[in-house]
Amino acid sequence: MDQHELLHLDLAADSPKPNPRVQDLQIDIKTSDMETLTTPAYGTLWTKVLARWQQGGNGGSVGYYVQRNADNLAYYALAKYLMSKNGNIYPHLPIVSLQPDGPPYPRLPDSLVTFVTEDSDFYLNATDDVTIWGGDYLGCSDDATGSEVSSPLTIDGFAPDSVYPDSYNSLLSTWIETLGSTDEGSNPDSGGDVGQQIAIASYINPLGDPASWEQLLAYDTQKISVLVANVLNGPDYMVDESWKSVIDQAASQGKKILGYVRTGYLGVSQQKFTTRLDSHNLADWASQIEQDIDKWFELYGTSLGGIFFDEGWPECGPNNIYADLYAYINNYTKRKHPGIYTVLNPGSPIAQCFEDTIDTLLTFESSYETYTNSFVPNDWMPKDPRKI
Amino acid sequence: MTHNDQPNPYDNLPNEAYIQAVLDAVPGGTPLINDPATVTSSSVVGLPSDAVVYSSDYSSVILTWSSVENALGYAVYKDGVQVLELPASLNRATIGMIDPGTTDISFEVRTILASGSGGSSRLISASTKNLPANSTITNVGFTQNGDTVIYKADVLVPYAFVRLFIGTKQPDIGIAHGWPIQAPGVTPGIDGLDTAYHEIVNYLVEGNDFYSGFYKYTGAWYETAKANADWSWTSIGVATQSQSGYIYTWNVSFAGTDAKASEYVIQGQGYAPINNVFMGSLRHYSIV
Repeated sequence: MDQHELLHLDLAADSPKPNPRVQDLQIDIKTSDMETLTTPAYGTLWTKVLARWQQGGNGGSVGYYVQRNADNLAYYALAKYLMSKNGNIYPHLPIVSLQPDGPPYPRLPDSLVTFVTEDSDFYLNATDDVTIWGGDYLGCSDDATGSEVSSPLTIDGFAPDSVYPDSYNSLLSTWIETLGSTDEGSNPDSGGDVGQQIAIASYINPLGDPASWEQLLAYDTQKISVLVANVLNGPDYMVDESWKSVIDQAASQGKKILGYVRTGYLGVSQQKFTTRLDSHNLADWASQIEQDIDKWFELYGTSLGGIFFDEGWPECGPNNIYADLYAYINNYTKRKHPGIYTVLNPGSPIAQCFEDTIDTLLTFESSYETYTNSFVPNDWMPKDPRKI
Repeated sequence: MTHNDQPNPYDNLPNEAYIQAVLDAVPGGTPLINDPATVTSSSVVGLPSDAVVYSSDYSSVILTWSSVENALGYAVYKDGVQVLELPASLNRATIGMIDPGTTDISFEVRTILASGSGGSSRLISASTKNLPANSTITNVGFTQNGDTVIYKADVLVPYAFVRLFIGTKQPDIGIAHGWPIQAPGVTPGIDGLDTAYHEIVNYLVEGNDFYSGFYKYTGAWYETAKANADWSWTSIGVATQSQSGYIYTWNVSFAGTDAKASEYVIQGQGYAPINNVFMGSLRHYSIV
């Protein structure tokens, strides 16, 4: 492909940072528990396998190696072209069911000459002797015996489904269903994705204290992944431009800002909290909760990362009525607003009947002294550590 | 996470060293996002066959119906758009946040069944009441007995916050100190010099039936200050608040304060346009 070879232009002259070098990368692929296949990442299947390797540490996102492999870029351009002709349908085949076994790596050493960056200037380093390779050219040589350059970067593992947009994942599961297979080729339990992260109840007015929000949004999204927006004990009735601005910024970085929604312990706690219309009735609480959720999305759109259900009631209830209600609201909300993340905050231990109700359960809200002296854990262990 | 204490530990960020220590302690990752349960069901029109308007008020309508056999849930539509979905265990819905005085709202309740089809759709017409005197907050007043002052107001639409502000004996124009609340409207003057109005308050009661704080304004704002007033209040105790239907009651002890009972503002904010009911002296100033 001409496109592929054009991408090797930086072979002659490397581009300045932060533009990555485009090369022909090689990957090791697990073909079974015992065997590994080593292949250049050429062609539709191998480029897709490469695209699923997730770079850990500071390397960033799944796209790290995609940007560095000529054939990935070439196929990306081809896919975009096709989509412009076929009504925006992504050419999803072949479906990847293979995992890379370690990070992709370049096959040959550096380019002929490099750019040097000094402060804001950069120039082509033409004073050093230009190295000429003997016979082999970087990239498309038929000779695949070039030296393997080991990656200096931290590798965390195979990219899980959760880093892909939900729309892609749901399409993917449809394709796999069509193919009669249940193997998605993913391994969601490996890698850094399940690692512990930080959520902050950031009830900080972005108009009154913009510096705090600037600081919050600057933190690594992998570490501080979840924040909470609270306009007026909920969404209010109109858009608050300063909240909208931080919600949009967070979304563009992949941070989830959740909309605060009171669930009033469903009106059944000792306080007998009432809805804003002064009712204890469970149906009235359910109605208010769902309308508050819809109001959040009506005002802040898809930038909103999900919902923070506060004042969560932690008991299953007769015939599981309270856990079922949260599960029902969660399912309804997720169908209406696909891909959102949900958190329920009872602030105390919660019964296991809630494990499949809401994505994450917040099971301690009290002082440091209480935590160190008399913390009571749940009496069950979740399947996924990110559940609590 | 927070480094702060109650009652509001989440209103600012911990210091950088605290945050960095926590950042260093976690490996990082992405949140667990589960897909919703897949459903193969249909919402059947015509069922339940007995949904009715149970009641309605200024901003809400309550619908009720009888349980339908084998129902998986109920879907509620307002003017053709689904606004709620409730589990089969519930057979009542309250639709709120409707403008007062809205007529001819069309509701429909459908039953979610694993499969099946019903009859023709049953539309239920409803409307919300008009606000008396076009105000969401009415019947505002107070009674004083020594240092104890009881304020009352009817709050006809729900707000996130209903606040009681109290001022002091009014000083001359230009030297008042406190939190200014802008009144709507201006009186046109000559040469483009219009007159605007505000009330200046120094005490605040904010909370709910379970905890209601009494605060004193500690910001630096003076009437002639050019800068915006800072929202800065210090707790000086509690003042009980209770809600019964529309009626809000505040019981405030003035002991040890320079509050003046007749200088007050009732404010509703959140979920509906802000409404300030000015019951004290409106101070005027010229605007260019």
